[in-house]
Amino acid sequence: MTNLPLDGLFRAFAANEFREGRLDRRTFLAVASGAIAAPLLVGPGAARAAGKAFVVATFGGGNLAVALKAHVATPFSAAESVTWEEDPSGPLSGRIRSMVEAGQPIWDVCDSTSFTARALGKLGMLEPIDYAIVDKSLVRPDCVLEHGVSYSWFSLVSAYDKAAFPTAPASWADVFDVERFPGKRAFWRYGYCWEAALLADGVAPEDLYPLDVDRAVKKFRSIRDHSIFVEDVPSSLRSGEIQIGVDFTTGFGKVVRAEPERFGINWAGGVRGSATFVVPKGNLAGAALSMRFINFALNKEVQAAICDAASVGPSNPDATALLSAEAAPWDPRNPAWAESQIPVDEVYTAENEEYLIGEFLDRVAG
Amino acid sequence: MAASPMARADRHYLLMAVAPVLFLAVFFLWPLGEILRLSFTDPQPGLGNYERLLTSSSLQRVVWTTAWVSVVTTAVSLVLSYVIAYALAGLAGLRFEVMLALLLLPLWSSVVVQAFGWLLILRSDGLVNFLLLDLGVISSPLTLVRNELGTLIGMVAFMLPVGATVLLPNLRGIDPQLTLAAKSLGATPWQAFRDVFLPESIPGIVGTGAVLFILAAGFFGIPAILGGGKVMMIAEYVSVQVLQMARWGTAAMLTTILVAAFLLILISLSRVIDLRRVLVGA
Repeated sequence: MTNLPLDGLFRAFAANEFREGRLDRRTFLAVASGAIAAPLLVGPGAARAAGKAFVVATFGGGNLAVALKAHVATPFSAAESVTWEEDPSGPLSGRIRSMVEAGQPIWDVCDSTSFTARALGKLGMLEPIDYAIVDKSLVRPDCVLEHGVSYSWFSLVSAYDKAAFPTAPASWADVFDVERFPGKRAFWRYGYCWEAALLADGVAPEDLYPLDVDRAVKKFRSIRDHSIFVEDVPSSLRSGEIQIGVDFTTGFGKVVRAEPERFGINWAGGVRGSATFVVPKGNLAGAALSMRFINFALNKEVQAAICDAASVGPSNPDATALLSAEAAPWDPRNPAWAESQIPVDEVYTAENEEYLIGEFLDRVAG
Repeated sequence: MAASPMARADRHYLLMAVAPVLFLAVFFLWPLGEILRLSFTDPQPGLGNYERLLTSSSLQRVVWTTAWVSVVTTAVSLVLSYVIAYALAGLAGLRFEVMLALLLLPLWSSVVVQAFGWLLILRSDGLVNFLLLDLGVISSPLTLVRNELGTLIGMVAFMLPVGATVLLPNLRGIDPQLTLAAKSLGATPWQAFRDVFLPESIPGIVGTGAVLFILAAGFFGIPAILGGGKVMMIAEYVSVQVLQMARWGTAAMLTTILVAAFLLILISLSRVIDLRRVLVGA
């Protein structure tokens, strides 16, 4: 974008700070991919060429990030004799896009969603999955995308504080019923829970998409005084600030499994979605290594370990039999509630993701 | 002809100023220029980003929320910090130093830590509600946080030491003889304050107000945490635009607007009062 001499100076400075460990990667990337100097990714590229590390981008600290580190990245890099590092700054689709547009994506595998795989894939921002390396017969057909592979499953559900209610909330309608279930609710700051409001308002699962945003806004606003919109719903539940939280099961897993006598999960009408690996176009370690990483994660033992650590369901059906007694209740395909789970419309969400975030921030929370 | 000693001294000062000026040019002015450029070029060249300010109701609301929260925060913290600074200005010696240290103590903790502290104190099962319920003042917990009220409480609390610190040198610079003279001429303490001390402190009030407003309008952490997602100010909106949506243009436009507003405030202020007097003290 710019060729000012200062650009180079700044780039070199920032890259050096980053290499020396004085600038954390998160800040560096914010600077690097950001408004300050858009195309300044030469620095980490050079650092990477020297270190030859394979970079896995995660939502650091999250349950999936912890599972990916322990059960995929670590054994995989040992098997491949490569070093790897985690970038925990969160590979949001906007950031993948800026990185690819800037020319040198430093992420080799991103923990993403099927929406991002579809939306960015369509824009040519992602490497196509090489199914000569990735064995698609390992996973269910709905895990196989042109630009991504779903490696685990979770549902949008509600979790509640058992002590707050004599009878447990058992539907989305109950979550939005503040008369029968008085207490505070929390939703994720950026939405991804539109379905909850519509199902609560009586929309039939088969009529859910395209989402009736106006109707959902009305439903959300009817309990707005009882709602907070936060980054970390499970923490709010654990701290006692709220009595019902709406989030993905993988978010609730740690909190609920730590205190099962205190919290319950309401699976009825859960909206099922997947965690999906994507590979930014032109990734520095080369697409082939990324493909082998993805294939490694689909192995049934690895899958069972991920599920146990992150409270998710497997993509590889053979892993189901290997799930521990503690992990099995977190599989959206558990027979106890598999029937009532509604698959998220990936195509619709992929096409409308930014619009939906904007509407949620603006009309539901704001 | 040899330069006068005065001019030589000036040159030394100039040389000393070169490093910070260069630093600011490279690490502040240049990136700021990049932001300005981006606001006119991303995603397409033109005034599109600025046009959205006129057409997008969400952008308008973010700007409005920022202005409203900043004005209220500034007004309340100005009054409270005046009281604190006035009390401090009358102290001397060890008592002054101890009080000043206590005033500055909160600045040692980060904004995020302060915000979470307020969350614990103000939420429905927090300290304040617990006490009020226990004393029978209220029958059900008040909603004190995760809304605009909570945001304002957190922001005012953060601003108090800042405001008092900026005001203090101004108030201490006012000659105490003036108030004494007024009293000797028969003024009550209140009259002496209202008619003599207060007018003398107006430049300090105006300048501190500007500093507080500029700080408040750029706030991120406190509204993001204590606002419960319901109080979206410009700084947070910019971060969402960049990180979630990759809309650099909109983010750059909002940043430019904010910086322009600050410059406007400072320029118009400098026409009314002597800024040096505000920032350095009388």
